[in-house]
Amino acid sequence: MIKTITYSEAIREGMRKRMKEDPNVLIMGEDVGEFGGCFGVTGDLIKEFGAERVRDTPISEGAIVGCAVGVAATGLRPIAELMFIDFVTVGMDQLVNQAAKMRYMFGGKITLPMVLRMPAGAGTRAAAQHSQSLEAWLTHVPGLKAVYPSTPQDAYGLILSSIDDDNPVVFLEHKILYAFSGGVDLDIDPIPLGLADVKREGEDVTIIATARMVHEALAAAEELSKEGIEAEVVDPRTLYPLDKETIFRSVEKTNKVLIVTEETKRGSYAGEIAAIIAEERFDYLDGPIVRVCCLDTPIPFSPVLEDYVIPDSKDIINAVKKMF
Amino acid sequence: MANKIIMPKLGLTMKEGKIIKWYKKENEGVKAGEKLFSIETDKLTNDVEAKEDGVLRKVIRDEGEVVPCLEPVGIIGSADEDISALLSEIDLPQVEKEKKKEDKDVAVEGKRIETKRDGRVRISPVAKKLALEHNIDISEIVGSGPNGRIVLEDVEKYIEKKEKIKTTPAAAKLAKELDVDISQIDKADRIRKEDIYKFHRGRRLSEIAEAKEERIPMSTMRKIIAERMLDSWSKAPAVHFDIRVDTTRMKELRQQLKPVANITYTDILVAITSRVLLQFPLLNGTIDGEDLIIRNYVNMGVAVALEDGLLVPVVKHSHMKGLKEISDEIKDLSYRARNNQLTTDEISGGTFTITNLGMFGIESFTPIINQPESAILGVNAIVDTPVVENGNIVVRSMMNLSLTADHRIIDGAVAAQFLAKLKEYLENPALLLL
Repeated sequence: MIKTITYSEAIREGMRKRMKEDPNVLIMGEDVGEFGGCFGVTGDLIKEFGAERVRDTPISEGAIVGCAVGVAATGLRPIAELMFIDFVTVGMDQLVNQAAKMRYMFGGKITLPMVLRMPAGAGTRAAAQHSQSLEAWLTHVPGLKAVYPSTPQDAYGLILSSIDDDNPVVFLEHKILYAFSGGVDLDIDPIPLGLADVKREGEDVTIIATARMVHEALAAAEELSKEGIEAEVVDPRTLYPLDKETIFRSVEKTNKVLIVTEETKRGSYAGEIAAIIAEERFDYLDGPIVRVCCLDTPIPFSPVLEDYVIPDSKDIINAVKKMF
Repeated sequence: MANKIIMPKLGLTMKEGKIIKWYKKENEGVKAGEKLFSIETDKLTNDVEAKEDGVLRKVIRDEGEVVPCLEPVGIIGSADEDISALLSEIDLPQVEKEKKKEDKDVAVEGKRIETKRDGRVRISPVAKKLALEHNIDISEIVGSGPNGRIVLEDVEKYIEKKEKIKTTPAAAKLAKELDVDISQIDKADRIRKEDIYKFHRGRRLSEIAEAKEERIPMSTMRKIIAERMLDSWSKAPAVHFDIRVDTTRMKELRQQLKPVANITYTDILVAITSRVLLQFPLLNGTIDGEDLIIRNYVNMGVAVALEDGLLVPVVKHSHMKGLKEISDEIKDLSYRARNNQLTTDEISGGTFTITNLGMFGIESFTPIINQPESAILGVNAIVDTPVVENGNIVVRSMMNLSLTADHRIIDGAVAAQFLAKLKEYLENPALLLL
C-alpha cells in the first residue's frame, strides 16, 4: 500500500508499526507525549500507546540519552528524541562513553538496541545553536551507527531497521525535510543500514549528497542536464556503515566526484568520504574530488546570511561546471 | 684524524679565492692527490687536491663563496669520526649566517629554473592510468581540463587518433628503428616504408636548415682574457713594427747545443731579448700615473696557448739566466700551465712578453700588449726566403719579428733601435759573449 505522507509522518508510521509489533519499543523525550514532539513527529502516538510508552522527560539531554542507554541495556528498545542535534553535545558523555562502548566493554554479553532521534540542519531561521550539522561528531565514534534519510520512504524504511538494530543508532532528521511529502510503501521491508541509493543516474559526474542536499543536488542535476552534463546523484542514506561499493561503482563510471553536505567543510564527514575515494579509487579520478559544504562559520540568524552560508543548487551547478 | 681543509695561498699576492666547484660531495670518499675543489682568483683557476685519504665530512664554504686564504673551507676525516670539536673551533655562526643567505639565493634560483623548465605534466589519475596501459608518452598530449590538466577524454581521443593510423609492418619496424612518431605523418591511407623514409629525411633536413644560436657562459679564464685585452686596447695607443731576421746562426746554435740540451727558438729569443731589453729600459718599463717605472731586471712572460685560452707564465730575472736554465724553466712552466697548476706568483710580475705563433706558419701579426707592460714581441714562422747578399740571390731562413709598443712611452725611433739591436744579436748570438 503506497500512501503519500510527509517525512515526519513516515518516521511516526515506522515507530507506530514497531510499537504495535513489539511491546518493548518505547519513546522518550522532551514534549514527545501530549505536545506531540517539538516538530510534531511523535504526534498522536501517546493516545495509542499511553504515557508509559511515550514518555515525557525533563529538559536534560544527559538524562534522556543516559536513560535510553540504561533501558536498552536492560532489555527494552528505546527511541529517544532530542529537540535539536545541537544539544547532543550535552548528552555526549552518555552517548560516546556509555552507549557506544557498552556492548564492547561487556564483551558482547549485552546488546544496546537504542535509537537516538535528532532534528538536524539549518534553514529554520533558528540561528547558531539550533541549526547545526554535526554528522562528523557522531560518525567519528566507533560503536555508533548514523542514519540520515532524505525522503519519506527512506525515513520509513530506515527507522524500521534502526529500531531493529541491536546497537545504538543515531537517527538524524532534517528539519526542513519534515514537511516534504512523498509516496511511502508502508509494507516494505526495512531498508538495511549501509545501503546507498542512486537517486538519479548520470554518466558525467557523481554527486554524493546527504539529506536536504540530495534535493539540492537533484535540482542542480536537472539544470546541468539542460547543458549536457548528466549528473548521478548518490544518497548514502546511512553515514555509518557507509555503502562504499555503490559510491565506487558510480565513481568508476563518471570519474568525477562532488560531495555535498550541509556541514561546515572543515573536519566534515564529506572530507571522510573524499578521503575514502582518494585512497581506494584514486586511479579512477579524472580530477580533484570537490566538496560543496557550509561556509566556515556558525549559522547566522539573518535569513539572508543563513541562505548565503548554506549550499544550494546554484553552488552545486557552479562547482560542477568548474570540474569540466 | 680529522683535519681542516683550507683555502690555499697560491702565491704571495693571493689574498682570497672563490670556490668554483666542489668535486666531492659531503660524506664522499677521497684519495690523496684527487681533485677536491677548484678555486678562482683574479688571475687564474686552479684545482686543489686532497693531501690525505679520507672522507669529505663537511663543506663549510659552498660553491661561489669567496674565502680569504688559509681559512677553512671544509673538513676531511674518517667516515665515523666526531668532528664536533673541530667544527666548534671554526667560527661557525658567521659561516652559518652567510650560508643561510646563500641558501636563500639558491632557493630563488632553483625556483626560477623550475618554472623555466616546466617539465611537469598535469594529468588526472584515471587519464594517467589509461595512458600507461596504452604505453603513451603523456608529454605529447595537450590537456583540455582545468589548469590545462590532461583528463580522460584527452587520452581517449589521442588513442583513437593513434589507432586510426594504419601502417605496413615494414613501415612500423622502420619507424621504430628511426624513432619516427607515425602519428606525425599526415597521410590518409596506409603508411608505407617510403613515407617513413621521407619523413625521416625531411626531419633531418629541417634540423640542418634550422638556424640555431646558443648562449653559454664564458669561462673564468675567458672573462679575464676579455677584460684584460679590452683594458689594454683602450689604454695603450699601440704601434706596430716588423723586422726580418736571419735565423741561420740561431739554427747553428741549436745544432751545437743539441747534444747537451734541446733548446727552442723561443728559449733563444727569451735569453737574447732579455739581455737586449736592459739597453732599452723603456720597452721594459711601465707607466704608473704620471711616473715611469724603469727596471734593471727583466721578467720575461712567455705566452702559452691552452685548449680554451692562454696564460703568460713568467721567467723571473731572465736577463741573468743561462739558456739551459731558461729552457728548463719554460718547459716546466708551460707544462704546468696546461695542467692548471701554476701559482699566481708564476703568472704575475712580468715586464715584457714574447708570444710565438711561428709554428702555425704566421708571418706577421699585431699582438696586444700584456698590461701593465709596455711592449710585446710576436715571433713568426721561419721561412726559407731568397735574399740578396753581396749582389747574389741566396736562400736564407728568415723570420719576422712583430713588435707592438705603447706609443705613450715608446717612440718609433726607440722601438726601431730596439728591433735593430735585437736583430743584430739574434743574427750574431756570439755578441752575447762580449
